[in-house]
Amino acid sequence: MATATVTAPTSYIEQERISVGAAVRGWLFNRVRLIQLIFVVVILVVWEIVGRLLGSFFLAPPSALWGAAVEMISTGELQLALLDSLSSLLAGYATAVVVGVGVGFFMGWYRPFGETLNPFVSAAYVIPTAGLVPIFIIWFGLGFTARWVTVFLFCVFEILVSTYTGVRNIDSGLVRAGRAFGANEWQLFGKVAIPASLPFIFAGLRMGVSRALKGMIIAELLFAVTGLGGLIQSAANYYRTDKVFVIVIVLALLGIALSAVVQWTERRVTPWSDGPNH
Amino acid sequence: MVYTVDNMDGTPERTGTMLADVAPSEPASILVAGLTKRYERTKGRVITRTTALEGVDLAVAPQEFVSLVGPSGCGKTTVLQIIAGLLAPTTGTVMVGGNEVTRPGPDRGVVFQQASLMPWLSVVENVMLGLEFAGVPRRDRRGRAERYLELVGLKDFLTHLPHELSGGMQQRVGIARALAIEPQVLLMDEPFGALDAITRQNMQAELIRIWEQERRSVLFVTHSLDEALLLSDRVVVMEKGRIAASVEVPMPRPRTRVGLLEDPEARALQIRLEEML
Repeated sequence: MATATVTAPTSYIEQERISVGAAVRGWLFNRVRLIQLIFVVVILVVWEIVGRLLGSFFLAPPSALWGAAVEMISTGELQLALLDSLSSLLAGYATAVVVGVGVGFFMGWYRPFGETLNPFVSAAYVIPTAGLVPIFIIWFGLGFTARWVTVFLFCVFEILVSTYTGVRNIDSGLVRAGRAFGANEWQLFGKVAIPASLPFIFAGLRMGVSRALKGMIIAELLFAVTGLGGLIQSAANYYRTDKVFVIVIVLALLGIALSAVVQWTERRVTPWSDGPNH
Repeated sequence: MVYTVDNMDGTPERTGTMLADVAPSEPASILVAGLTKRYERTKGRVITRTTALEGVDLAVAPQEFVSLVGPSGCGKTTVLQIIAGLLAPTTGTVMVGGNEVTRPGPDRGVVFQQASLMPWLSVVENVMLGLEFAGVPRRDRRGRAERYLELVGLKDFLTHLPHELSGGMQQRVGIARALAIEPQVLLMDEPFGALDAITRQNMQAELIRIWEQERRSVLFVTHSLDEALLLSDRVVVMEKGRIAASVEVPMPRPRTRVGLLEDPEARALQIRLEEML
């Protein structure tokens, strides 16, 4: 019986903690941030000059936006429109996540199912959904349902196709290892397949956010009565370009905020991954 | 010649015998009889039939270390996957410890060429997941996982994620995961094939050390004769889906790479085997 001589592996990993201040400084002050800042300043200056030359009627300069924003907030129209938009956006997106991830997953996991549905999904994917919005208005009226369906259809295929791709791209070695150790189908599902495809699923969720926003605005513009899209329409009708820009900025912030939520969740849930291209 | 082997924790002893004096009645750990494997693939109007295995018979005795060598495509990995229960044979039977194999089971521990660790789980969680799949009760998993990770020299790396480890260390985790389910037989499919030459040599030495402590039947697939001669009691040569030869390796243990290079008998054996490949 040989005695156990445990050889210490030669590699090692060092970690050091830096102070919060140093971390914040490193994040704020670096070359990339500086160039980004200069870029933003140049755009604002050019916009301001052109806006003043052409007049607020045609292109409101950035300096006019603050006043417009204050006006829209004090009358409450901005908040109301935002809430209205958010309701259809979140409902449509949430439904798309459930359906897209669910169907995409089963299509990837059960080959015959995936091969059967794939041509239909591909066909539905390339149909310009915006063209269908008038039909949804005929079917579902001008209310919440039509906007919900529009948002859903705008982003569901993005999420579905990413999930499908993710499941098809699971390292077959991991599934084989799971099988070799005696995992049953449910264990393979929950403990191997789902975690392994999360990076792709999250890529789809991120793309889905921006698609959902587009769907929301397109539906509202065509309805012309509700939400942020409706507000853009009515502001433009009165040549209030300052108000239009305020809403566009709100939309951009909304998109950034939603993407940040998805990315934050992604980092929490898949700390091992740098995304599907890793 | 009877070997007595201590368990890891120093409790009950298991006994086993070397191949030399296996009584005919004693069941082999792995018994493969008349294994054939054929594939059929239709592409357009052409049906291609491939015969991967043609009547393979193979027996591995308890505690015996057998290497399966042969060129790529000779069917050695197919044999291993069928024994693992990952592939079904076209005809023939596989018995492990007296039970017929129809699917994967905890009586067989498998180590793959790629370590195939779940990248989202830490080292110890990976081993514990193997135990969970093998049906080991929850309360026993942690202790067992840590014990076997210590055996492979990774007790300081329990909470690391696989991508933080080198290839050799990842493969140690793979070995610990297979050993931890305490299988009757260990099936290793070119486990060091993806490693660089130096890491590979270290891992071979490690494997011998671990095997000395945890005597199990091992079926080791490799295309390297050096590796097969260094590690095994017997070398089985495969060629075009058949067993071409089965040769005992008489060199005494412990063996070293340099020792084998200096031993004329080992060199003669190697030359004989080279000519078969």
